[in-house]
Amino acid sequence: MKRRMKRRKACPFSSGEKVIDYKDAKLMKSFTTERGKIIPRRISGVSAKKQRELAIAIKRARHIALIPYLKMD
Amino acid sequence: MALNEYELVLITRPELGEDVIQNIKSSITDFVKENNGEVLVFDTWGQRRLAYPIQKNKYGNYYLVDFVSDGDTPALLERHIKLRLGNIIRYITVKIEDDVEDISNTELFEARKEAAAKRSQKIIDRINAALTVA
Repeated sequence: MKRRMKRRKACPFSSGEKVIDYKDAKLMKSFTTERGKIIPRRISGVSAKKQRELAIAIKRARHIALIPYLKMD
Repeated sequence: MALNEYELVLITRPELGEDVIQNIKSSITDFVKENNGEVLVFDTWGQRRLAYPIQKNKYGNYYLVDFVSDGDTPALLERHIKLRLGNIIRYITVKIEDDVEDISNTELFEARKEAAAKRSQKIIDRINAALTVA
């Protein structure tokens, strides 16, 4: 997929604008796809470190049934 | 042993009487106390629709418990929940902070309690806001 790189998005977490919290269902959901999969950081623009923390938080949120593991359409 | 601050989210099945919930609440609080800990916050998020059915339930009552204790207690507490408190269908314990001051230090302790209560209130506000929008 050769595509010109768009201007780098800023990571919404690194600036302190948003805090990663597994209890925040809306936030967790915003980083998952329609089918419930975690959005890759090359799409979301999240920094590497924060993406790791985000992934853990999303998995916790799934365990707590705040977001689904898989959504069928 | 060093004291740490933990956060426990639990889900119970939806139709539970007030007395059962009180029972759960005191069971957990007493358990933490017996293990040299102290519960800071025990909040209710209310009933929510689950993202997927758990033990055939589509809805569940969410609770948030914030407590301090030594390092062994969370595992023991989870064991206690698993064995004795069958109405709790899901739980997760997360460590919030390491090496917290002693309970006897009442000033700091009260401050920590307030911070925890504020944190929890923020979450409850967010949940209520989401509900009113929907």
